[in-house]
Amino acid sequence: MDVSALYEERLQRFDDVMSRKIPDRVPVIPNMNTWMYHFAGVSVKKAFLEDPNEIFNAAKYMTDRIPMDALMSTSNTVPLKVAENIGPDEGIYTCSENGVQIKGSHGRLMEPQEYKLMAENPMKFFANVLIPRKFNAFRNASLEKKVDLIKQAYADNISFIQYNRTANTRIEKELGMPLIVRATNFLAPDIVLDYLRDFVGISLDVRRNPDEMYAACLSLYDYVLEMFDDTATPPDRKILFTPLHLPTYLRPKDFEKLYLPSMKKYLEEMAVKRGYSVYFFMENNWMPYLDLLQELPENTKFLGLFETEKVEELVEIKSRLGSRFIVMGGMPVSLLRFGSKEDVIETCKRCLDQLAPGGGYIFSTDKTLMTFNDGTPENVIAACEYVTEHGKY
Amino acid sequence: MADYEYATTLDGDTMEAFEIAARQIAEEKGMDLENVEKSMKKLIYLFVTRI
Repeated sequence: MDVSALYEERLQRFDDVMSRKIPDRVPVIPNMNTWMYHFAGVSVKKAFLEDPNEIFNAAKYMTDRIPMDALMSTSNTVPLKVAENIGPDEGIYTCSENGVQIKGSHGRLMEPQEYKLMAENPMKFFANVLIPRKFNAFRNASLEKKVDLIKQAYADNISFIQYNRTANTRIEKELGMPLIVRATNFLAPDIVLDYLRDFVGISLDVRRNPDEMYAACLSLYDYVLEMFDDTATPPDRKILFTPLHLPTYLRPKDFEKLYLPSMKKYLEEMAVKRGYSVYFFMENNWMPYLDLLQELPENTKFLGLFETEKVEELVEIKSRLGSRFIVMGGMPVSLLRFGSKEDVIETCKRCLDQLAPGGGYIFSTDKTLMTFNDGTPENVIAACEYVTEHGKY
Repeated sequence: MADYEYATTLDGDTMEAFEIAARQIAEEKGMDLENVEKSMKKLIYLFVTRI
């Protein structure tokens, strides 16, 4: 089969599941991150910063040895050079041979008294209040100096986009491997958690300032949507990715009041109204919230990767929410790391027996494969090979 | 405890700097100003979240 036909076959297999058709077989899409680079013996730092062909080389090494139907992305998602050129010690990320890391606790960038300002104009709040607060180079800088910094950052970001395009194009055209995440959109409460208030801060806000936080999140949602519409191309058969970080730290009644509306609003717009494929990484334990998730729209192209080690929990999720979610997951990363090959294959069999019938299922790992310790190559290969060979409908 | 005073207004000139930068880039590169301004909207967000 030629490469372009292979690409089309893989992408269509994925889209068939998303469209709630029965595909030819269960798609295999491991939740792959920087494990790929470690497996291939490629320096993450060199791949992300110096030579985009190293990203391709890592993808080729892996996909030559491990059968799979798609990659989410190449994991090069942080424009590292922007911070580098702003100044020494600027920015919140570092990159080493092993991967990208966040530098310590960074997320408390605003105070609860400022929710009103964010509600009034989130973009202006980000620009005039948060950027000078976060970056030493911007604090007390002249207007002219700020303009220079911004122009450099703009150029660096364009270079970053082009760098990734070089790698991504080679992966799709030369390996026939779809990179299925078209864009990433955070829901507003997760932006607040991850980048603005941190865990302690938002935990207090949920109790002491819920209305202000909610109003600010509504405005932030509009900003995120506006940015998406301004800069993104329609995803076609690819997906819009959203990681969900905050929900499982909320009591169900707080989740219902403060977070679920964001999920519903986003899905109504993207999945229902626009018909896009949407992917939520449902991190941590969602079992206490399944009844509440019944409020989500039905029969859309909506994919949920549930971070559970228990196949029976995924079975219950599919049984109760299968009209709302295409379900993804099933293979515990802990098993890929510590289990025997026989145990891994036994779990694959359970996934196929209990989750595949009727479609609506994509085989994947419950967590992201980041460090090389996250799974032995033998086990990762065994799992993907087994499901590829035995997952036919 | 934060090591800064919380803001009470949206005053500041960083937004203005983004606007000036957009105009200069559009002129220098012969690009459509509206498109550059849209990219700046995203860049502001990236500064806070991904940089």
